[in-house]
Amino acid sequence: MIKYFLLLLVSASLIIYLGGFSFGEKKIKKEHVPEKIRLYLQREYKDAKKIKYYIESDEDTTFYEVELIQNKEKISLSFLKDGTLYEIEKKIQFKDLPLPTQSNIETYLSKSYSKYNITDVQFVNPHLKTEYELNVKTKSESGTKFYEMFFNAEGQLLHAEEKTINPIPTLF
Amino acid sequence: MILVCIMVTSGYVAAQNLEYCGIIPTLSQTGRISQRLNYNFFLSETLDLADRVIDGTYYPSKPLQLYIQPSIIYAYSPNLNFTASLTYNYQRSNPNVPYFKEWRTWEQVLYSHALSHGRMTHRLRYEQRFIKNEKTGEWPMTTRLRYQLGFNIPLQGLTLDAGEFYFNCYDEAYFTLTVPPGTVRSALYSENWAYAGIGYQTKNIGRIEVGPLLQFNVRDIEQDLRNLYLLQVAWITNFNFPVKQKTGS
Repeated sequence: MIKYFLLLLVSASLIIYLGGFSFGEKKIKKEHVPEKIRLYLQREYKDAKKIKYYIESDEDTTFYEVELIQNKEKISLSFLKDGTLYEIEKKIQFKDLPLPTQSNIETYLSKSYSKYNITDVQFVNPHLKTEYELNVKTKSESGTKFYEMFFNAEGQLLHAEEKTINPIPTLF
Repeated sequence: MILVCIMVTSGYVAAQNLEYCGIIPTLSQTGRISQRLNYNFFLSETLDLADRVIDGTYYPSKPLQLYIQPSIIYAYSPNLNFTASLTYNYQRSNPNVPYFKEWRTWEQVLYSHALSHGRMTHRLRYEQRFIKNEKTGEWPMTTRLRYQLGFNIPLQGLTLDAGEFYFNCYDEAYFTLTVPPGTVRSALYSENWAYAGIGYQTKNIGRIEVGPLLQFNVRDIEQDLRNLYLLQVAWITNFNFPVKQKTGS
């Protein structure tokens, strides 16, 4: 029986290895981050904890990304290769959005779906231009779906992507 | 863990218990079938690694249990999954008795929520066990309910990246609900598994996780226990933690 188990284990490992699991971005060490970014972080996020650095290439553009926690707040920063700040992402509450923005978003959602639930809101500012990223659970004739929706500062929809739902990890 | 403590500190330990030490290599592969449907293939083998003499009886080191567990997972939402499986199980309560064969169907609800920077999971599973009676050739049904409380957390930062470690633990209580006519249930609270391990996310071949797994089960109506002290070595692929996603502009 052990032989069968080992045989299955080896076969599975080959399949998985040849399948090539990989990651889209690469974690890097602090010393590999441009000095301009390190100085910015020292100045603006001096109390930050659990800092991680990544490098990611998106078509022709290389981004340095920094993930950190400051004042119990999860913040994600993107920088261009020359160290220019490109984007800040942080979680906020829907009620913290400007009232006209809230109203426009709610109008769009109630017109588009029979039911919806905003589960998560992030402030994002690519090119330092304010946007809001919402995770929304929707119900319509086509069933229940989960979306990542991007709205501009006025609450107009920029684009929406249906989310892929990963199974919750568990063993045995 | 609380359930284990209750079990250990109760009268059970005074009875005639069987104690084994071993290893439980496991393999878990999860993959996508469609937008919401996923499959999992789980395989484990429990190996008793030490020869021992208990109350004058010699128990040689031998395999104790083989699990082959394919399942279908319906991911209703990021926090709620439903799973069903047809599992084959080949086991014996100690190395001196023959194996018994079991087919098992089960249905499961799994709920997950954030806790600090980690995730908590609540798993409820209802099992229908069909264990072959070698004398009659029949497969009478036993039913069981299992509740597992789990927690996992990346140990380096908010998300798990390649080359980083994470912590995972769970405790699972087993409740035997019904037994076949003409047999006696050993106990309602019949089994408990407690585990805590450290995992490592590799770059290309998923996760490797190692930690102690303590299994207690009531083996007869006298409330005698079989205690298994195992080292769980798991190889897990597509064991997802929150993945950083780049926003569009």
